[in-house]
Parts: sequence; C-alpha cells; structure tokens
Amino acid sequence: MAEYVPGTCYLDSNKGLYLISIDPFVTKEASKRVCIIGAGANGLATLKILAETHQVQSGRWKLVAFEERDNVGGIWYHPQTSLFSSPPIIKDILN
Amino acid sequence: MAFPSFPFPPETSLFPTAAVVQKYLEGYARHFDLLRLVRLCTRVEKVFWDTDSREWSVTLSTGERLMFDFVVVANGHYSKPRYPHAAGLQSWLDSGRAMHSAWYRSPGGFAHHKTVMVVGGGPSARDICADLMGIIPLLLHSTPVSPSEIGVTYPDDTETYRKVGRVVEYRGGGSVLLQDGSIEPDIDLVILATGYEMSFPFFSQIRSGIPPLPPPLPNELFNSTYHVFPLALHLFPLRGDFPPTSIAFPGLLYRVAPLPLFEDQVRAIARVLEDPAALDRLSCAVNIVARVHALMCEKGTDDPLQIAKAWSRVALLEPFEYRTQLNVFAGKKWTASEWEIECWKNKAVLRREWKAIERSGKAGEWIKGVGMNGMDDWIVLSRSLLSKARHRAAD
Repeated sequence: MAEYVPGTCYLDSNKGLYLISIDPFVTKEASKRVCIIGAGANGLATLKILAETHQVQSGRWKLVAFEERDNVGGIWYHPQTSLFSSPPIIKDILN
Repeated sequence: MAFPSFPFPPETSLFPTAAVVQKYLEGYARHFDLLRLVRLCTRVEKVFWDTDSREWSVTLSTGERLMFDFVVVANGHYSKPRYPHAAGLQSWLDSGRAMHSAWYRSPGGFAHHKTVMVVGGGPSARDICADLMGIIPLLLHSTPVSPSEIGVTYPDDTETYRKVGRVVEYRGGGSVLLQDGSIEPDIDLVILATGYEMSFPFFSQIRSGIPPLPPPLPNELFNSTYHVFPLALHLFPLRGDFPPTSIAFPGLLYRVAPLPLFEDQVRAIARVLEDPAALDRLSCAVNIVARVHALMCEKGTDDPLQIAKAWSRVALLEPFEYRTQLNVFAGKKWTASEWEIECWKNKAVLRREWKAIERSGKAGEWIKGVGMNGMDDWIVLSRSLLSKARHRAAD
C-alpha cells in the first residue's frame, strides 16, 4: 500500500477486499482555518460572504486576511505618486 | 458595478473615479465590520502545502509561520506590469522615455510633451488616450491589432490624434520603427498600456509556462501569466500537490463587472469549504476541455499561447452564465435581471453619454437624487441615457 491515498477505494489483491479510506481533510471539516491573501475588493468580498456563514458565526471557521499595504482597497487604493517614482503596489517589477 | 449587497451612495457618478471606489470599499469594510479580520502591513511571503500534515504553511513578512486548511488567493492581477517584447525598448525604459501605464495617474504631468505615443488596445490605452487628447500636440496610438478584429472602436484620427500599427523597434533619438516599415520620429514619451501579468510570487507549487492543450488536462497547475490552468469553476485547481478543495483563485477573469462576480465566487468557495465532495471534478474537467475546444474553433487556432491569452477574457454574456452556474453550485437561485444585461451590453454607449454629460457640466443635474429610492433610480438613469443616445443616432 505504498501508493495509499486518502479518500479513495482500493482493491487489495492479497486479501481480496475493497478498502475504503476516509479523507482526514474531510473528517476535520468541523473546524477550518481560512487564509485570505490580499484585502482588495476580492479579499473584502471573500471576508464579507464567508463571515455571514453559520460556520464562521459559530466560531468553527476562522478567517484572516493578510494585506501588505496600510489600507484595504487594492488597485483602488492609490496614494498619489509622483511621475516615474515606483508605485507602492509593485515590489517585483525588475524581477 | 457595485456589490449587490452594498449599493453606491446616492448621487455617485455613473462612472466613478478610483478615489470614489476606494471610499466605497472602505465603507463596505466598515459596514460589514470586516477590518477586525484584516491584518494590514502584513505581506504573505510564502504559501506551501505540507503533504505530511495536509495543511497550508503560510509565512508572513513578520516572520510568523501559521497553518491553514484553506487559502483564498486574492492578491489581484493588476500589479505586475507586462512589457512588450520589442527591440530597443529596454534602453527607452532605462532613460525614462518609456513607462508602463501602472505609473500613470493624471494627464497634468504630461502637458509639456510635444509627441506622446500610447501603446496598447485595451481599456487603459483607451482611457489614457481620452485623457491626453487635446492636451498633447501629437498623440500617437499604437494598437496591436486592427480594432475591428477585437470588436472595439477607437476615436477617428484628427490633427492631434493618429492611430498607428505595432512598434517593431525602439531606436535612438526618439524614433520608432513600425510594422509596416514606416518610422515615427521625435517621440518624447511612450506610455505602455500593455496590461499586467498574473503573478503569485509567494507560491512556488505552480508551474510557469504555457500549458499544453487538453485533452488530457496537464499534469500540473500552470500560470501562463495570462491564465491559471486548469481551474474548476474558474476557481479550484484540478492539478497540483494539494487537494482542489483546499485553495481557490478567484477574481482572475477579464471583461467582467468584478464586484458582483466576486461575491458569487465566494459563495462557491463557501460551498466547497462546507462540503469538499460537492465539487464534481470530472464534470468540471469535461467543461474545461469543452471551453478549450470552443475557443480553438472561435479563434481558429490550436496554438496553446493564443488559447492561454484568450482564456480569461470572457465573452460578452459569459459572466451572467458563469454567475448563474456559481449560484447553482452554491445552492442558490439567481438569474441576471433584464436591465443588468441591457446596461452591460450597452456599457460603451453609457460611458460615452455620461462622459459627454460630465463635459457639458450637467452631471450634477443628472445625478441629483439618484439612488435615494434604491436601485430603481439607477435603472431609470441608465435607460434615459440609452434613449438619449438612440435619439441622437436617429437624428
């Protein structure tokens, strides 16, 4: 059973049995930690809709969004920048 | 345009500026008390699926390493500029004679130039041209393909605005060589409105490159910089070292009204969080292969690069079908309203009419009180703009 993958059915030729495994990812469904990358319009919508679920309200799902800048808004959050200076949203432009 | 759950304040311009949208988003976050769930000034440096513990390891700029069951990749796709491959462009960029539109804010800083060339055929290029027209003595607009091919229209040529073909080479002294062999001399500045690359610098479990065309689906998850492939429901990766129901890539489609779509995508994500088995991977794979096939027929090509470029640019009414599909998946009934489809189909006309009203100084009069009685006010306003446009066309 070197190739054993959770959540699938197997025919074990030695024992002549079907083995049905349980996916641990499914069974720990009760609690979920959700990471949201970015708090632009998309990240905020994710927080809003998920925060309304009974799973989040009962504390079973935990949400956190990480935003690299000092405010939400994403592409709409543009502190005025002078011409030819780097916009703050771009970190890896020269990569 | 707005989140269906949170309308714009009454009397908001029909085509609001970025600053107005920013205020609106801050209002949305405040209204639904979302800021308590946001950690600002915290960059995600690394996201990695741990195959042993079957969870995501997330490393932050603070040095913390936290474990998660599900990751929503919502970092956007409008921050890493895409530069065209053209000979000589790098030295123009180095010397400041060329810049990407990501840096563009307002026309004021450009008024001292005599000749400016805007490169690109998308919305940014059109917006910047509209901004600079009449301010710059000669505005050149380099479009990659003929406008009729991609179904957009550009302004007619005038004494101060002229459309030209693709740039083949950027030469010394401010001249460029165009595809047809002609040369445009004395260009002071080139603004490259050439779009952005999809980029996930924190995520290494994705392969860079153009995926081969299915069937069968490729064995890995690809980022072509034009699309992420293959994603079930344009959200969940069907390939990768991690379960498709442990990560989602929302918000990657172009030519959509983003905000309403975002909320519906999250409803599908919530469904998968609730019951991972709800995602029927086989039928999703079949849908992906069918869409590839349809695009190949429509574009008349089996070039994987062309399909990659076309993948995220949805057809005119596809966003409505997609939103219906997401809602069905989430167990909700939703169909697009007639006026929503009407406005979406006519958004170019609405925009033109609204801009003309703004120029005439009558925007305040038109928008007065609109939204006080809810959504119906906006519908009435949109319909009267469309009827205004129809009357003018008839005259």
